Amino acid sequence: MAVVVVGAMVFALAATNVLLAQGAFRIQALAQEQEQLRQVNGELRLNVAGLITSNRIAQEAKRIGLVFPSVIEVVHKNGSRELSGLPTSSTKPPRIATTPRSGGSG
Amino acid sequence: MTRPPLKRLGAILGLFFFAMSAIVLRLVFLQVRDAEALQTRGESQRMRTVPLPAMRGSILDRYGRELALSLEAEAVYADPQHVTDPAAEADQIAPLLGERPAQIQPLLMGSGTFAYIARQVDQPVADKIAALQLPGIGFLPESKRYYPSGALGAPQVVGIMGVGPTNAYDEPRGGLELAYNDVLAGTDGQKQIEIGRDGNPIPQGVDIVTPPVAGQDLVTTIDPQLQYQAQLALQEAVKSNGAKGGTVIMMNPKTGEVLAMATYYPSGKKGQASVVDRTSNPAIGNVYEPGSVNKVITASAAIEENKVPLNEVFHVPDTYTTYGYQIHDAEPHPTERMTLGDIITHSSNVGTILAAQQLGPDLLATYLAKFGYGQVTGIGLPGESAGLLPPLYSWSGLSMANLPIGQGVAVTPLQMVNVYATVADGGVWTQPQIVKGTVDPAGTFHPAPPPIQRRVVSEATAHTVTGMLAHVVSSGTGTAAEIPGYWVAGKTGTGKVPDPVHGGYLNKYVASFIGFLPASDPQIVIGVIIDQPTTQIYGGLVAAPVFQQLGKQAIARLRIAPGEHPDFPPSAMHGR
Repeated sequence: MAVVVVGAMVFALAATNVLLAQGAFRIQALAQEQEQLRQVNGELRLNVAGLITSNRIAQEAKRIGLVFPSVIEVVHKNGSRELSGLPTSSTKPPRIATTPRSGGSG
Repeated sequence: MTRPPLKRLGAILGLFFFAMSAIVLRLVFLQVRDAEALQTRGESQRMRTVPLPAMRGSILDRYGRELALSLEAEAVYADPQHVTDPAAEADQIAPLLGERPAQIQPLLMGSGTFAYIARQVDQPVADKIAALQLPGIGFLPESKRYYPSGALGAPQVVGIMGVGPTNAYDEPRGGLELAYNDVLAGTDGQKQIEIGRDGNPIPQGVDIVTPPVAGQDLVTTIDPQLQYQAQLALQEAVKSNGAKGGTVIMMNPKTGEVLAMATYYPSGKKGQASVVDRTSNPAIGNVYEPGSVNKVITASAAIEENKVPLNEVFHVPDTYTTYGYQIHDAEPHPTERMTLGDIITHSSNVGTILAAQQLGPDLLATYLAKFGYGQVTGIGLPGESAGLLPPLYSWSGLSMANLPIGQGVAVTPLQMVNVYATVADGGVWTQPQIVKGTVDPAGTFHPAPPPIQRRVVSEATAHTVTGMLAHVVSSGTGTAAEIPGYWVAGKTGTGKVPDPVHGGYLNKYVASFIGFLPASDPQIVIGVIIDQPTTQIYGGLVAAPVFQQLGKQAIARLRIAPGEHPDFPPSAMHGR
């Protein structure tokens, strides 16, 4: 009887040890996976940050032939529409000289 | 029967006792008297403390996109005492680091036990080196800073991490990196491990980890698209006008939020790529004499103090003589009848001086200070200059001829743009903001404290001055800033550059245009300051077109609707 009890205890102890070891291995594997994912996440963050820069988007837009709108259409609350901000140069010449005089702001 | 050798036994016993006593005594010395020192010595031989650097917080634009971010990296080091074949190891490591073996090999042959081979090595590269399993090569965790938007992403605002004054490898050097280092840096942690003679951790040995606390993210007010457009337009303007450099600031006048702050001062030889200096910010650190953009203060003060009625007509010649000095208007003209509105619209120096004489020096000095001259704005960026506002007691007879037209006083671009933001916001000066708040490691946003505000002039005065500024763009010196469909308010400036060596002024100018739109309900203030242009010199020709270009971009970006027609001031020249 005593032999059986001791045998059962030894078996239980061994089984617990095996389970603990397995758990430890699993924790280690998960920690490694977490580390790898963190690295991948960092690389992706950098990648995304580079992709969404205005400079890259502008260059890409230019490459595929996009231009800034020539007309800005403003829709008012009452439903009326207005074309504004036409990107043309002002036709009125500035009323200032084109060469400096002494003393001069302008 | 022989007697036992008592003497010998006694002697042996005594010897044995003596030896045992010596051992016990030695044990007492080791275990009691020297125990602490020996324990410390042993621990110092076995214990290793590995620093665990805190991940530095990111710097984000107003939409949460990263302007600066840190990623994990490794420092690669060598313990030359354990390197077995320096030449062979250098041959394997160098190509992975993009170096020549001749640069690496001396580091592997030193007499010490530690030498950095490379800092801030990207993780994939470090992994490749680690896979070589070279004896005497080790790794330390650290982080590496990235600036994805490069030179077009508010570099002077963001700043940079680099080798600092204390020679530390990764120190904040300028911009928000420096100003908010305490917030961004976080707290480093450490790992204590027990190692054996072979340098490997002892199984079941001490392994104590104090985890690092990551830094907080900093959310700025920068709009990345406006910043990009501002930087691009500025670079083009500086190049096309043969200028020394320039600054563009775009600001929300109601909140004081800086949406874009671009500076461009090309360096290096012609044909070479310009190096961006991220350690200083001319938008807040450089001062210049603003010229005619300053007239808005003279006009505001005169109106606020009821010193110049709007319908008062001045007889304005094109030249004013005082203390033997002559001050001219920008173009010759016969004596003209001008109201204050006409004077501002056509940027008459002489007319402004005449109006300022009715105001008087005390009030002019008061309003220059009230608009923020001579004081830092407190935006929170390092290296901000207070500018130069001469104290009233030091004013000479010429001061009342110079200061009203923006000469003899020096301001930063930010101070000057803030003057226009004050007018645009109905006469309330608002401290400029560059930081919206912080995000802690748990993801909670903590807003920055609200900006300081103070009333400088009444809403009615600001409204009147806005009408004058709208008239400047409609039919004065600033027509090149006009955006069809919108009422733009703004002012040109062509300030002379002082001669620091001989006194007086150089034959060089700072051309500027600062304005806002729509005039009736300002949504954005844009300041364009071009330093020492050579092709043209006038703000109306050099800076106003840049304002127009950026104004259109801002209208589209911020979806600004056209506003009402502003009230133009009485005009003697236009028969109103």
